[in-house]
Amino acid sequence: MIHMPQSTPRRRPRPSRSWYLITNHLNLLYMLAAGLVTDPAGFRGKHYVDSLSAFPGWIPLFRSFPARALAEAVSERKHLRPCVVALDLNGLSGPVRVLSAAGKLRQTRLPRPRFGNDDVCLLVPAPLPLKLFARASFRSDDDLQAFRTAAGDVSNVLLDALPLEKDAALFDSASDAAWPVLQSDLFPGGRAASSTAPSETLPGAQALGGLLAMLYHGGNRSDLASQLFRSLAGQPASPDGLLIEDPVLAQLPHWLRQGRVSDAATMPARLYWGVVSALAAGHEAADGGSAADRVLHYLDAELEQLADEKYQSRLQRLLHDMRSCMGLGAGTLSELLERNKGSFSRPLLLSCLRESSPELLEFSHPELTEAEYVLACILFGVRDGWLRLPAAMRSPALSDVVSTQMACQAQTRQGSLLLLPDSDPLLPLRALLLAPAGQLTALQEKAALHIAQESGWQDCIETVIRAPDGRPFPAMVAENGKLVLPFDALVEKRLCYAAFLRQLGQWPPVAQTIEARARALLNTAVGD
Amino acid sequence: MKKPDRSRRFVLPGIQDLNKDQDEALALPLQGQHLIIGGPGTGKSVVALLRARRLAQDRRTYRTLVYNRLLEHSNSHLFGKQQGESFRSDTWDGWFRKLYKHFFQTVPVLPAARPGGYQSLDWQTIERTVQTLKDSGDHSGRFLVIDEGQDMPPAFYQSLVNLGFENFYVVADQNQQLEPERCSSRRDLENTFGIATEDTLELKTNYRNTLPIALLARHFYPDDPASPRPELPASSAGALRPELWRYGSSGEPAASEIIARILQLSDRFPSKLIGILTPDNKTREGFLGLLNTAAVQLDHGRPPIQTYPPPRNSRRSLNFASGGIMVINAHSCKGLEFDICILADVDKHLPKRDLYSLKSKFYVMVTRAREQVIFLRSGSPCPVVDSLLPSDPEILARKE
Repeated sequence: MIHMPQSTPRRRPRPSRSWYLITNHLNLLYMLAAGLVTDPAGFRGKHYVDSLSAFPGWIPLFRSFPARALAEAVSERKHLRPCVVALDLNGLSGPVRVLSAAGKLRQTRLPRPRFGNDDVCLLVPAPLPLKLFARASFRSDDDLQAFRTAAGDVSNVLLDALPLEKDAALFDSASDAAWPVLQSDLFPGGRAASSTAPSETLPGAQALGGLLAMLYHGGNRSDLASQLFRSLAGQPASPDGLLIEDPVLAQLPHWLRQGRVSDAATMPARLYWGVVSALAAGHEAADGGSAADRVLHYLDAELEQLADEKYQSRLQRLLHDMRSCMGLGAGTLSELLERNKGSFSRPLLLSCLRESSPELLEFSHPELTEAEYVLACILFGVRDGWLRLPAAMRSPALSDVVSTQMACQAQTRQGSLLLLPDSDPLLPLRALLLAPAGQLTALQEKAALHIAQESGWQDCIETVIRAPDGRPFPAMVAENGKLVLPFDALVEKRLCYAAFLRQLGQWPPVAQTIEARARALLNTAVGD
Repeated sequence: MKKPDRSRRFVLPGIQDLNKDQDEALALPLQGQHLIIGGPGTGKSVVALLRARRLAQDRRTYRTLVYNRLLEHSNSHLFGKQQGESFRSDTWDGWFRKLYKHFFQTVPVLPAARPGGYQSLDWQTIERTVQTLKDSGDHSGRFLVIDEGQDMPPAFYQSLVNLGFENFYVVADQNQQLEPERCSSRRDLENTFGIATEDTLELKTNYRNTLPIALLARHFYPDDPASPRPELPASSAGALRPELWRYGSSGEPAASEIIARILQLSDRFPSKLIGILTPDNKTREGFLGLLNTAAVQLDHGRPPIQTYPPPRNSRRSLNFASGGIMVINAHSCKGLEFDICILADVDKHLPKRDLYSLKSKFYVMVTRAREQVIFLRSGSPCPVVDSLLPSDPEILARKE
């Protein structure tokens, strides 16, 4: 079924004075899908020539832009439409560069850069979070419509959060200044120069984005996933503070900090995180090999090195089942899970049995433990990256968190000193509706009832009818689907909490409008 | 265990899944004549479907025309409902007969090959008659999206142009012509529509098939220079290779064992559609009977099992929107897409004396699969088929 995008962009206040990114409608779409304002390297080979091509590793931003930059942005193909995106840099701080009309570079600092009349553009280290986008402008209604139509043709772009407008006057204001002023050999290293030691062993931005999104959505079924999301999204309680009993999952904090497991890690943990690293590397590899190939090749190579016979036979069995499950190999899914137990084997097996992240969120099996489910979520998230996740997994609030975390990670990896604005705090619904003392608060109960009623979860609601003075109930009359009582009864709706949590953990998730209302009732960050 | 969701939904491509040529094909103006050429799996049908979707959203008068009823069912399920707009599609033959009748009351047909058989359209008479029509009305606001456009004869297109149709979006692949002598070549289409060769869009990259499937398909490639040879999908050496299983003889799995494994495969992937492509009706009915009666322990119960043509007295159309097993004859499979394809009893495929046609048949069957292809052989191997199958186990793994 094709789902139609619903877009009612939230208006953002215009910044006092905008910085402009000059691009075309399809590059803008790609950046919205990727969750980052990125240089051509972030487009995985699908970048159409535009102003971003001039300085790999940097984002050129203009105060007043040259008409030649607009022409360049649509030069590669005839169907491209020019687009000017205004950015609000108020939340950024740190060193950036300024390029003058004479082709000279100098350093300055955000948030108050020195930028004169003879200067052409600001060069900010890529990538940046999407929350800096203030609005996107098009020359004509036709161009704007072409952008909306192209967005409707793909699964991973939501236009909800970006104000769009036709502003012909803005395009008419383009200057006749030269562009490009000089070539990228100004930066001999190609990519943005580092200010501190780069940490390229850290997981890449897309892998982190996918992982965060899967923990967020998995967090509506699993408290463990919810807690991990909370800590990784820069909210209180670090993952080190969490008690993670599973030895494979326990390596997550170490892997995120250093891109590898600790020396104390068990063999299954080494193998699992080795697979995850291979998948994360796939987002940045030039060969574009398939994720299944990467996993199997990595494990084949590890099998050759394994000396321990116990692990050898386990890994051999797993590899055999992973390879044969898509063919005429014998066994039901239950039999395969029974043959391959443990938090290393089962998530890997699931990666061959379910194709996409939403399919994993849909999947459940009584034999699967919580840690195995969370590890499968991590594996799928890292494999798919944020880019591949469909619009159903991208609420604007989650997109904001993920985009910010991805940009921070990328800046840290390349040793940049640029500081990015924080995202608003966000928790999975389940975390907001937990009853640690065994009792929901009145607000929690109201929000949960709203979700259950609006979602039609009949098994989550009980109706309690009380006689006003505690008198015994007389015989009741059933009439056309109604119960008729011959007195003034008190009627109360009550939540069946266990059933509610079970429903909350299902996929597809609660509709965004229902979730937004529930979050408003709870007075937390609204997910709209 | 929870009842599985077998829904098989059309998922829009991600922006990273569309290459620059596909972007261009999608951005073509609604009006005018457009021809998009590409091999299997290059996304031709996806761009055609997205074009139909756009026309539906724009509330335009449009019709998607496909070669046969199966393809129409398949596309309708993929399209789903669009804010109340149903997918407007038809078989090209049925639609044209209705259109012609509107103007001329009776449709000229040729004698059937056998009593009561199908009577194909008499295109010579049709072309001549259409030219005599004084006023065919204004069709400038009507839009035609044509999938597998190589399979319609040149006279079909010429007649539509003569009737005043102006807006065509045709996707085609000359390497998949069903009956080359009655089909349209790329040049036919370009000449009819007045499209310069350089304005025909070519889609070259294979997106549907995995690299191992594409490698196997390349082995059967018929190599018509008018359609660009599909580029192999990006991937390193294939991990999940197509499989060839022999069954039924001593030392080989019994037929019942193979059937059990097919049912287990479907059980492991409840939302995937497995196409069993058979060489003839007898084999089709044989597989259908075994699948419906096999006693196998499954997690989710017996999957939906469908066939085409449907059994007598059955009015249900085929459901492509749900996972399960579909048993159809090979000649009906063109244009369809399955998650997994099982080519049953490959030694029985005909024609044995026309290697080009036999090779083309294997090419079309193999390229129907998105994720896995499995060949089944039983009894004495046919030397002609033997000579066509790749011997390299890296391309087709022999299983036992």
